[in-house]
Amino acid sequence: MPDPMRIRAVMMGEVVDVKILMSHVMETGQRKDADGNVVPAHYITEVTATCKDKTVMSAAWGPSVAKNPYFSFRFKGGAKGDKLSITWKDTAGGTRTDEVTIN
Amino acid sequence: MFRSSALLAALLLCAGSATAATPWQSLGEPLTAREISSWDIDVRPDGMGLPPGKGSVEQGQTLYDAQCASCHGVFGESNDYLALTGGIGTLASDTPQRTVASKLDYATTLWEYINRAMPFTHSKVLTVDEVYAVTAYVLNLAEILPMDATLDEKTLPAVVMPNREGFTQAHGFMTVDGKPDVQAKACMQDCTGEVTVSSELPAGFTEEMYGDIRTHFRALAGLTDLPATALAPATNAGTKSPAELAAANGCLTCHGVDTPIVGPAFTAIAERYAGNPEASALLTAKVRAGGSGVWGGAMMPAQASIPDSDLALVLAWLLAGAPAD
Amino acid sequence: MKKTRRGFLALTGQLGLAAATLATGLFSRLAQAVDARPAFEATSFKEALASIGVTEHKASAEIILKAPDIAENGAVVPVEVTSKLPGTRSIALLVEKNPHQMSAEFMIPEGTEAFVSTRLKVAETSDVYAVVKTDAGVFHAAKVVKVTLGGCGG
Repeated sequence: MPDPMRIRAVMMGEVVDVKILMSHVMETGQRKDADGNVVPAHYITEVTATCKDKTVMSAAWGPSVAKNPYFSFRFKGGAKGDKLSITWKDTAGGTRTDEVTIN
Repeated sequence: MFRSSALLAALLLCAGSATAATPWQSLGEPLTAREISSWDIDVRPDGMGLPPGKGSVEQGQTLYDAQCASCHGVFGESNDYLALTGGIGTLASDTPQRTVASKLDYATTLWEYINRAMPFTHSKVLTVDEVYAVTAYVLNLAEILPMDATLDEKTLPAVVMPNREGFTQAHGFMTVDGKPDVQAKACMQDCTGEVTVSSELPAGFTEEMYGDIRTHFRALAGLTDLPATALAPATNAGTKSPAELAAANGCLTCHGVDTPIVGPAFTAIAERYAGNPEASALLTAKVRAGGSGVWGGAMMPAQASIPDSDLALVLAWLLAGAPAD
Repeated sequence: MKKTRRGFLALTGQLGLAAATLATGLFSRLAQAVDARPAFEATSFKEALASIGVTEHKASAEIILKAPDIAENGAVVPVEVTSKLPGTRSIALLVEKNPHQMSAEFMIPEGTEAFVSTRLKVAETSDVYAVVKTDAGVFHAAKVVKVTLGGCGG
């Protein structure tokens, strides 16, 4: 099981300000290890954010998103106390979903 | 002005007194214990110098969000100023990421630095317990301590930093060309064999010009006597005055009410936007988006966390000239 | 993987074009490729944009792209985009000198602000592009990020 994400979702007027820090190697597949062997690619390809059954953000990522990705976005329609759910999927079939309460 | 004349006076005094039979007799007096303690601030890897106290990750989060996140990022990830987290294990790679978490060899250094120098523009406002709490939270953000950790003067030195064996002083944290902050080398060679006094001031000159020179310096010794502004974590409008809201949301970290710090003084902003009907909207956008260039090169980070209601009150107060009450 | 790819293609709605790009065989450059999405397999700026359906794009001052002038460490370069263009549908981030130019594409549904902030790997000094799809066409903003190579450790 991958490590949990750190998520902050805060009301900023009528907009929800979301900040996420994920724990992931984001290996590009172009790097070699100390023995000269290529380190296989392993990175997040999809990120989706859902609030009250509505997709408020979806993103397609490649290997050039930095290791332990930081991602921030803002959406309308959320309120204090609502749940926001973030899911990522990676190239190795790994996935992780975390939920946070908007405050 | 005071500073340069005081320094000059010190030089004059040294030279002038040399003519007396016991030239240094009138100089100096013993420091008080409190004056010594205000300079004796180092903390060592084994914990020597750490005052008793304790703070938890949870307490640290509240303080961090209010006092630290605006520059370092909510997860300590922002490298606008100095990244606190990330980069562990990258130092020997092609793209070393020098952060507090990846570079420091002892956690006591983090405590000491926060205690001595943070928040950047109004250091020493955190209590001892609060410094333990913020240290614990930063180490938790860095994945070095668990969520339920508490630090005190015994447990902090026991924290093992990932780079315990790898610390070097070959690189600085913040500069692009990697120059170290401090790399002092003691010279201790080719020293002059004998020191001679080659010019003197007339006897009594210094006393006549400056009176008792010791009084000029005594005030510098007791640094702990400087007043500290206590800052409370952010809360909602209604219970606090705009000035308190500005403090609670970290505005006063970089802006003085009537003096510029990193950013412009509130009164100067009020003057510039006086009579501008768009001022409130303009400044709201400016605070939210951050930026630089209007007042100089220093960058204001985007401020997402200050609540709209707080911001509106603070800006209304600011545009009214930031009156004291 | 199939599922991922299908999801992405449906997302961008560029199935036909994507298939065409695949057919050119360009993606086979990396034998161990794990990513079957043409946008992320493309090895030229044009090709990467074509695979998300972009052929023409104009510079716009309404796209604010924030990235450092100088990045000491190309592995972690903060990039933030705000689009003030009405009807912004998506924001793509591309790094011109990276082996694969496409870094990320963010879909902006109704009600979500045209704002994203993340951190990219930038292999060498390069233009970083924000390419914004709107109802009225495709626009971009670009900024040079100078990467100073990392040296020894410590």
